[in-house]
Amino acid sequence: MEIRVVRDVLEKNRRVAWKVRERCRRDRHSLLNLMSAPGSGKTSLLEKLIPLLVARGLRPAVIEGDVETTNDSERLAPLGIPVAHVCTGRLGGACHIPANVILAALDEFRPGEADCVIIENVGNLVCPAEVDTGADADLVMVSVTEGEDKPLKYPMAFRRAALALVSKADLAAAAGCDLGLLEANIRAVNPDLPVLRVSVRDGSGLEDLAGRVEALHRRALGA
Amino acid sequence: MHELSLASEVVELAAEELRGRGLSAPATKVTLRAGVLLALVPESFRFFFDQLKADHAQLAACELEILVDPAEATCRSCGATTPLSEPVFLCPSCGGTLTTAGGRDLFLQSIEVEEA
Repeated sequence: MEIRVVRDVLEKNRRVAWKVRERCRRDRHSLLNLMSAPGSGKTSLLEKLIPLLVARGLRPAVIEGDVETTNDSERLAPLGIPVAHVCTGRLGGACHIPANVILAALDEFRPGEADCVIIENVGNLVCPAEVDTGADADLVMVSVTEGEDKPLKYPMAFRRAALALVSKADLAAAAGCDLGLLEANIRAVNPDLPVLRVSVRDGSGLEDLAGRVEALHRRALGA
Repeated sequence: MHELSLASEVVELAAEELRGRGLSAPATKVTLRAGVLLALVPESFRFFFDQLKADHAQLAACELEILVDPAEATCRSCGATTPLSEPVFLCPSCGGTLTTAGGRDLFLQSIEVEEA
């Protein structure tokens, strides 16, 4: 006997993701999700970006996702902003942060202490792209050392993003990376995606990035 | 890598559906419809599914069928519409960029159970 079910397997996460969004609006903060492969420079980027956001009058906080270790949270500690740490290894080795974990992580912040919460997702371009965190906007980053074809290999992360970053741009020549080809590949999977080159070493693109993050933050808050 | 969490959701959802319908006969087959853009790796999904189904006696012997749903792509340059059967985003007619619809969902389509 065949039972027709036709039920959305991701519905539970989608429901929780909308709860995350409702909560963010209630608590009047935006929620941005930063995704990239391991080692492309998410934590280094946040170390430089957070002070620029503070200088713009924002009150950032970070939800730090790691499969193991609290190394990244420790690196962010000197910034003096609220950091909620999520060790996904204890959630069954998860390679992404599902919405119910974001909901729990938001509880670690005191009401009103942050108005712009940034998720540093687990280093991975596959799983975070499939699982809605409840974020208002997704940022995807690819470094010049990863190869120009990465957007074609991991298209979903680039398709859902509102902004793409090309990191370690100062190393492009040394890494033999054709920046034009990398950016053309990003446009091939998502023609509407704005692309910004950044380098935390020479500081290029960071002020521009802070401006764009502030714009995404304001759009989320409807301001 | 996302196959583990998705397989876990599928097994729990199938068990819940059987419970909710008051069915106690063993399931023989679970059929899924996976959007092509999810880029599910069937071997990997099947491996996790087979491990996880053992937790539910009713599902322990069931087989798994995965049907792939295409996405529909429309070219921004020439307007041609084509079903996408793999995650490639260039128009097969003119090489232009494509706007896609669908192909991102994962549905538990049906469950077959032994006749009482």
